[in-house]
Amino acid sequence: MNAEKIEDAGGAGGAARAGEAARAGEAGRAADAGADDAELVRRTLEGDHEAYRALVNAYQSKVYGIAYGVIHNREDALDIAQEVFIKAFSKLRSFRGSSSFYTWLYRITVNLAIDHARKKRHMVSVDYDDRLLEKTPSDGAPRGRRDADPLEVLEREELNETIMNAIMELPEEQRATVVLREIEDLSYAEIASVLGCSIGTVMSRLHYGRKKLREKLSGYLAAGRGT
Amino acid sequence: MDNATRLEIEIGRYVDGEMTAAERAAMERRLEAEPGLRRIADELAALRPHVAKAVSSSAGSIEAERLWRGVAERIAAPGRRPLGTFLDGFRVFLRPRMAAGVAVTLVLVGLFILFAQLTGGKAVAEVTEIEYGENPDVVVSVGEDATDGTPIVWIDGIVTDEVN
Repeated sequence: MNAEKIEDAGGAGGAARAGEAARAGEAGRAADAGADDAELVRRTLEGDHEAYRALVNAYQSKVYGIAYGVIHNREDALDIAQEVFIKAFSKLRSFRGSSSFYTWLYRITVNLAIDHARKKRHMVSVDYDDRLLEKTPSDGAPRGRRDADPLEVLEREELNETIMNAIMELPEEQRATVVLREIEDLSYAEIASVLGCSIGTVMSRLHYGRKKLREKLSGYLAAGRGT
Repeated sequence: MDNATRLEIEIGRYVDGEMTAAERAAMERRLEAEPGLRRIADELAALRPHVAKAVSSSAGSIEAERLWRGVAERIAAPGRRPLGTFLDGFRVFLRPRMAAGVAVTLVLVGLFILFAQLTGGKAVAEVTEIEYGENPDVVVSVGEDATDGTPIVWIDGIVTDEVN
C-alpha cells in the first residue's frame, strides 16, 4: 500500500489557531443564521412551504453529509435526509427555539442515522454490495480530476476508502461524534447539544474514535510527518 | 481514566481550538518540550482534512431536487401545516412517567372490568366446572362468594343469578 503524503498546514499549532478563529467566526455567522432560521420557522408554521424549502436548501448538504458519515451509503443517506426534513416539518411546532435550529435538525439527523446504522449492522453482505455499487463509474460524482495523475487518483481513492472503512468500524456514537467534529466542524458544546450528552462525553468519544482512526491510518499519517 | 488518556484528550482540545489562551500557551510549551506529544498533536491535526475529504468525496453531491421532491410529496398536501395544533394537547402523554402512569391505570381498570364481568364483582372462594346435561356445548361453573358463602353460577363465563 502506498502511503500518501499528508500535508500539514501549519501542524497542530496551525490547526489549533484555525479552530479558534473558526469558532469566533462561527459564533457571528451562527447568530445571523439563527435569526434567519427563526424567521423561516415562523413562516413555515404559518403554512408557507417556500419558507420550509429555504430551510431545506440551507441544510440539506450538511444533513446528507452527517447521515452519509454515519451510514456510508448514498441512497440510504438520501432517504435519511428526506426523513429528517419530513420529521422536522411534522415536529416543527415542538421546536421551542431554546437551541439553534441546526442543532435541533442535526439531532434528528444523528438519531435517525444511528438507528438506521444499528438496524443495518447485521446486514454486512448487503452493505458490501452497496459499496461495490458505489464504486461504479455511473454512480455520479467523479472520483478525481480527469487530468490528475492516475496513480495519484488511485492512491487518493485508496486512502479515502481506508478512512471510510476505519470510520465505519467505530461504534455509532463515536462515529457520529467524529463526523460532527471533523466534518461539520462543530464545537464540543454544539456536539454535546446535538447528541444530548455532556462535553466530557464528547471529549471521551472523540479521543477514543480518533485514537482508533490514528491506529488504522498510522501508515499514512507517519508518511506525512515531517514533509 | 489514566494520565496518558487525559493528556491526549487535552491535546485534542488544543488541536480543536477549545482551549483558553492561557491553556493553549501552556500546551504549546509542553509540546515544544516533548516531541512524542507533538507527534500526537500533529497526527490529530492531519487527521481532520483527510477525514473530511474522504467523506465528502465518497458521499458525492446531494441530489437536491430529488430530496425536495420526496419531502414535498409528504408535506405539501394543500394547506397542510406542521402538526401540533391538535396534538399539542396530547403531548403530555408522551412524557415517560405520564405514559407509564396512564398505562398502569388502564391495565388496572381493565383488570377490574374483567374481574367484575367474570365474578359479578364478588370475590370467589372456589370454582368447579359441572356438566350441563341438556347441552354439552354450554360450560357451567359453580362457586361461592368468599365473603358470605353465597353460591355463584357462571354460564359460559357469565355470572347468572339463577341457581338451579
